[in-house]
Amino acid sequence: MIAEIGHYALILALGVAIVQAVLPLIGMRARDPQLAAVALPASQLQFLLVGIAFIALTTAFVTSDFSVLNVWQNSHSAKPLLYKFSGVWGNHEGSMVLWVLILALFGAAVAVYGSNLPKQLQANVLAVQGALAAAFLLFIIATSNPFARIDPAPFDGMGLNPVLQDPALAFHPPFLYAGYVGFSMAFSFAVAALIDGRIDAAWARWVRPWTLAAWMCLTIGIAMGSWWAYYELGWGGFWFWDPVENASFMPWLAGTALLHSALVMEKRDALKVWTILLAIITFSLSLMGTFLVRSGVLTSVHAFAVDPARGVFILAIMGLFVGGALALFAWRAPLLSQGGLFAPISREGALVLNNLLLTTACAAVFVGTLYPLALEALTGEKISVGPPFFNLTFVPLMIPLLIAVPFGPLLAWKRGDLPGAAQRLMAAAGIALGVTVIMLAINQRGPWLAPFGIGFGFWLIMGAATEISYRVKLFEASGGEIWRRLRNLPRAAFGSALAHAGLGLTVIGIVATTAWGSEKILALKPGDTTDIAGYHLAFNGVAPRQGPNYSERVALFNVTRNGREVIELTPSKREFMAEQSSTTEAGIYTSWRGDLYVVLGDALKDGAYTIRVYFHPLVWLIWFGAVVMFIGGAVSLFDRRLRVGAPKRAETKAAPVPAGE
Amino acid sequence: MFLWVILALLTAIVLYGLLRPLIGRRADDPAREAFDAAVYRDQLAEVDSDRARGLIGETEAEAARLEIARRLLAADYGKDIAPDDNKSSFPAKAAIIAVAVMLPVAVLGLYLTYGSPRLPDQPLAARLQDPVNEQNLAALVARVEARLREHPEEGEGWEVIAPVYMGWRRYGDAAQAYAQAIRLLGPSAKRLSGQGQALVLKNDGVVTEVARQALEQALALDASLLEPRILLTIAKEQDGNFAAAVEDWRALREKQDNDQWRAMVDQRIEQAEARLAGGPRVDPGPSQSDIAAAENMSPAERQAMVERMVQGLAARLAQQGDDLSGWLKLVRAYTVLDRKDEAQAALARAKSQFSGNTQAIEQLDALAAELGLKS
Repeated sequence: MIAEIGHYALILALGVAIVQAVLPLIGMRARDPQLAAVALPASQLQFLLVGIAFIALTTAFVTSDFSVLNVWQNSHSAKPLLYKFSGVWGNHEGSMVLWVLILALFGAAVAVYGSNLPKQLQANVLAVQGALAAAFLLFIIATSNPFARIDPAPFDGMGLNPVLQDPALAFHPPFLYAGYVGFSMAFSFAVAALIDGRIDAAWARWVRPWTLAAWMCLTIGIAMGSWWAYYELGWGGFWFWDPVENASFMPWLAGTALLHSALVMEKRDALKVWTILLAIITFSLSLMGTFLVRSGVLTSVHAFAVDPARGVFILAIMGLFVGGALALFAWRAPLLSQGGLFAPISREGALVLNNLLLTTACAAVFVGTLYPLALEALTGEKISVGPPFFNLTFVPLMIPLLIAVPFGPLLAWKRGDLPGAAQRLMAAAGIALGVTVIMLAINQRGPWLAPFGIGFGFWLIMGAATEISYRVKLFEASGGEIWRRLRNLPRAAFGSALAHAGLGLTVIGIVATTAWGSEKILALKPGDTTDIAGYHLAFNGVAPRQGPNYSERVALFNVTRNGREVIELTPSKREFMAEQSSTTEAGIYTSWRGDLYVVLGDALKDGAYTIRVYFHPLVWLIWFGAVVMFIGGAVSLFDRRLRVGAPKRAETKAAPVPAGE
Repeated sequence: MFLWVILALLTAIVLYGLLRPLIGRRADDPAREAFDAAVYRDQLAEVDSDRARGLIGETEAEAARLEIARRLLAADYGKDIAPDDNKSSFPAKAAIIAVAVMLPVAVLGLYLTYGSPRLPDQPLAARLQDPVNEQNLAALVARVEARLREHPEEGEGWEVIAPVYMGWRRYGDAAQAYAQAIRLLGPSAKRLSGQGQALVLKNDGVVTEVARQALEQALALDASLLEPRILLTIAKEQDGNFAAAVEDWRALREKQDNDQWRAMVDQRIEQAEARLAGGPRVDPGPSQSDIAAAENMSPAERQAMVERMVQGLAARLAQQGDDLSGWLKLVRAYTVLDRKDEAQAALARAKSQFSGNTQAIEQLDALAAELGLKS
């Protein structure tokens, strides 16, 4: 019965979504605010209904109700409880429900917290969100119904792909979807503005925090995916320029650009048309990511929906929304008023440069990802665009960006003082240069470019520190004055400094681990030892062990450093019975210096085992940097200046809403 | 019945929510310009507070104030234009009817198309206690499995379940169950023979080293067993030791008094002798007859044949890893079959196998580059 309630709720949600999409638009044409007002309860009801459907599906997974086809295909009674939960979105159907649930959550948020939005704008935004929800709900119900039943129920399920049975992957999709779908907010606001032919002042003040929240989720989602790939796939790489990774990286790049251009739009009322276009592009890239991984165009762990019918359906949805939004843009954008002026050297100018570089980098990734697919579709020829392409296109675009980042926050709005900013950054530049020289001196045998990479990382971190110290007059004012200024500094200033410093940390991590990682592939017998990066590893042999739904062979290594015991590492190979497949669990020891990474390979004939040992210096900085960026975003998000005040009602004399809260 | 009550309730809540704004009048909202003005006032207040905190200089603050004030003026000017009120009530009435009637009908229709309202939930816990399922073998197996997960040290459970797995062609599980039974209850001819057979079937007929050991031990315990003997003879064929195989087949021929059996054994002997007479040692890959047969197969059958061959090759390489051309063939085959992950894994295994052998690694890298794999 629970499953059927969920099924009905999902279909009812489709009906509500259609009402939510259609009535406000009719209302706008007929100038009837009553029709537009339906959007508010509709979006909240939609969240309620999709929520019921999601809970029903989760219940079916947790209780192993294999009369639900989807549960039977993707779960198993012996799975640990966490993975019964994560199994809900570990498959195509369930993950689409989660997608729509997050969409509905954002829509409901616009309805609940949107009292400070002009009613017409709010209704239009909700109508666009309703249309998105309707399209995806129709897709779910017609082609990938999670509540399809089988009777009688098979006795046990087929299990979840073992590589997905992992804590990081349990939470990677929800964050990623929150990011993708969060950008739908910017998209809906953009399309609503285009439908109206006007951009309200509240537009950017609303779009910015929501974009920021989506960007934070996407950042952490991508970082989780990369971290998972690092420790689970067993060769210690963290980024492969794989089309699936690129599919999530492109919205991130465009979203980062959007975040910065929305700032210009809010503060200076400039770059309006560009910001609208960027909002459309960002969400379009999110949709494309969804299309790429679900259409069967790409083969990967994510390609769980290799069904051409679904691919065509998603392509149609994508064509409708992306094509529709862009056509609307071409038609209506000339109507939008242009905003304030600014000199090329100014905060705005720096943000424009940021946008230019980020969108170009995004375009480079786009070409590198889609060109091979297009070529294969047209000529059948298979080519592979690998890291060399991205190293030659993406990396050179990032270098000027990294150089420019610390300048931005130090330039004033409208007209900036570049020599002044450069002067303030002298100390940061000196430190970065010093680090580069020291690294060059230590690593005389190359690689030559790596020390410069580390230098860039320090440049970003010190640049962020410079901004804060300049604002609090660290070297001029007295202690009390500094403290007062520090407390008065808006949270957004801390947020952006943190995010920029986080980027620096990630850069250092990437450069260090790429340039100075070491690797050994060995055939070791029990009792053998090996050395890497100052660690001494003694191989004690391999033993079997039984897990909840797998059996594994575990190797035991005693790791010592300078004669002192460090840790026992137990890399293993797991065999999953229900799914008939195996995974490799690397043994990882993390210290501030980097990760010692040991992988157990196959048994060789003479009783030896293939053992791969890696040392990844400073690799943790990559993800730590992402976490710092996330925290930076969160700190900005709580800046009270992002709140929008509501106007006092003209007619009613009820308690006035205090402006600015 | 209860289900329908809940569904009706859900529908009622939705209709109430949607229709409420359509029925009755509501106060007019402030004009849009009023919202703009509110934002600009906020911004002015922000500039003032930033100035007060000393975050921006007086000239900057003044410029910002001027700019915002200009926008505020424009907004205030527009505020007095009242929203025009001459709307008709027709759309609202039409909307009420559409929502109240069409929505429930459409939703119900769609639900009856896709849903299964008569089907109750069947959570696992309930099904395990269901007496109707008592006779069901699947249910029994599930119970034994559940028990074994909690008490993996009960050898009897493994012993019982192993032949069931064999019957269901879950050979990997069967091999594992036999192995557990042997570990816990000690080796017996029956268990060892079962394990050996399961392993061979799991590897699509290839007698691996582990399987051979199990089968030999089984024979040592009970020399009268027939299956281990047959499989060990096949193992000899697979090793290319046809002379010994022919000898064994001859011995086996007399073990069963059955014409069909004899005919089959004779055919094996003939084939082995043909190989012995100078036929080249063919890879357990496609023979002429296989290829001829493949031409008459349906695509699915052909696919299955290819899969079988690839599995055989993989199993052989797992035993004898020093065959570079075999590895190259396997990686290519996986890529052609679009099993990229396995191709990647095979490539990694091959590379670790030949670590130190630069020439081999170069060949593997070249292949990886050609196939677009990460090397």
